[in-house]
Amino acid sequence: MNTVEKYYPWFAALGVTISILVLLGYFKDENREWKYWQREYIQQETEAATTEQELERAMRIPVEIRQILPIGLDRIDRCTSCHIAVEDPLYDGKEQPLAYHPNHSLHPVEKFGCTVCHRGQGLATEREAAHGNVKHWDQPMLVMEHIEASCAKCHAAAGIPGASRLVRGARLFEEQGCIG
Amino acid sequence: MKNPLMHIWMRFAASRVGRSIFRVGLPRSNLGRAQAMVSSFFLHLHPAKVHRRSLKFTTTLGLGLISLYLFLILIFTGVLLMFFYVPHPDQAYANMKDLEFVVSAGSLLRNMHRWAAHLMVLAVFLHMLRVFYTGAYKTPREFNWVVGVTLLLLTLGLSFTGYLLPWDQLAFWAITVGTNIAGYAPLMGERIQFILLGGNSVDSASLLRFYVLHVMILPGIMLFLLAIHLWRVRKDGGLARPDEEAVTVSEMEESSLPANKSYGLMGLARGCTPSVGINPEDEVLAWPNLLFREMLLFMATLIVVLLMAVFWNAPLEEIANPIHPPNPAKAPWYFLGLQELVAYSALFGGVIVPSLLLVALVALPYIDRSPKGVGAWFSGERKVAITLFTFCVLAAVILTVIGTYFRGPNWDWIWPWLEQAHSGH
Repeated sequence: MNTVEKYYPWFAALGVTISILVLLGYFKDENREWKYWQREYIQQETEAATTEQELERAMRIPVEIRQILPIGLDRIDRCTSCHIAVEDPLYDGKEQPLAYHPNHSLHPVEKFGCTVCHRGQGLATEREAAHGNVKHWDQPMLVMEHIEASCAKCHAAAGIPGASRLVRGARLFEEQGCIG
Repeated sequence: MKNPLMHIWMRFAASRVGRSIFRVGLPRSNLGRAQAMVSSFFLHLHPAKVHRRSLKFTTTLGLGLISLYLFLILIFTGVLLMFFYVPHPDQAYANMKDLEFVVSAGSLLRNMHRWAAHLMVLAVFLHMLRVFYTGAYKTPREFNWVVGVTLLLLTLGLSFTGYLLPWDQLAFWAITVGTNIAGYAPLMGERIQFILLGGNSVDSASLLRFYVLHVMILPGIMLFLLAIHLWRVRKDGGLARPDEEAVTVSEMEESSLPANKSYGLMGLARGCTPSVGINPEDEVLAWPNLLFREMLLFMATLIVVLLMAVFWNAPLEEIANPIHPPNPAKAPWYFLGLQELVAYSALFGGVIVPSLLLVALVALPYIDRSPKGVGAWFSGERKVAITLFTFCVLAAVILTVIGTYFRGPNWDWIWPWLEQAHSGH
């Protein structure tokens, strides 16, 4: 009655089950999308390196969460955790998420972040959640043809260069008497 | 020894350092097994021996222990979560997102905490039902029942205060509804609501004081009362048994003992402790029988919590918006029965009936003084008590189910399989 050996199979079975569940949880956590894309970027940079210095720089790029806290905009944008090549002109025209942002110098990402124009869920680091196409996030990403809608947040709609649609829309608004 | 790790351990335990730490080694004899309980700081709440009946799963379904283990899991995950949480409206919601997307194992931690909390409310409730249906609140365990009811209220309070912390729409409006119900109490209602909220509405003051209540005050009181609750289990004679009443040593008289013996009688042990009146054949050593069963139950509880946490995410809605109430705004599930009652009458349904039920619950062991039916499930000698109690429990469950599934916008009746339970946000 007082032997401990009869309990061993039970401890083994439950212990193994706990271990499996903990490992499952751990791998679910470790297997993040952004890590894949950052490793992909590092791989491409390593392959494209032509000098020793470039190769060393590429190999020392860390795989980590990247986030921007634009001053005065009260938000945290983690988009560059996947869109890591957003500031690199060599990635112009490449496939998302490793693509350069056109005219990046106009609104540098370290100053403005991303969601102030593109909307979406900057706090997220998974694709669908970050693009805001999930329940309980009521600001999904703007489709590209509507992107000029964000310009009017900061600029007076009348005269924004490069936002011809918005300017035309603002003029129509006034001409047709939609205001008031 | 076959196991090299065991060999290294035994060498250490036998060394001077080892012997200074472990006063009594791993038990090898029955004396050692008895000593293991009594001489260990962590284990000495256990008796050296337990009644055989205490080891059977069907005696208690382990519900009290499950509640305790869930509380321990909540403390462990809760402390870790505290490292990543700031109780201010400007940060709380973002911290939830950080846990989900940035913090290593953040999602798992939060899920474990959430599901363990819901399971604990359920486990504590079921434990109360078990204690009632086995008549284990009767003499001498009346006060332990009262402590238990207080622990139930603390569990609900802990769950309620924790519910607000994510600061999303679900949290904000559930607490708005809950504190409004508290406000219906006559005379003191508004004052109670003001103290709960730290103001007239759910705001940063409410979040802060709910946080302090949740991480410090309520757990502190809970641990204190838990210690008393477990202590009383021992001192009241262990788990309630059907034959307890039959063994009344107090009925023995000294004069009934044989007079031709050479040894003298020192005295008769009376009351419940030390273990009195247990047939030695019904006793087994707590090491390993009780202790190892307790450890296995902990592992099983952890498995259930881990399973839920790995496969189901804790809910998180939009950030709290004070000017955009959902329709319907619902209290946490364990208060939905109350909210359903409130829908009929704020004062009668929301205050008087629950208060009367609570008073009846606390006073139960002092009202039901019959000593019959202790230690047996659904004893036939307690038909009236069992019927009345079951009626109340069923009513509470039905009201909760109605509030959860059958109430839609404007608290109108809906058939859940036909309509959406929530209107658009």
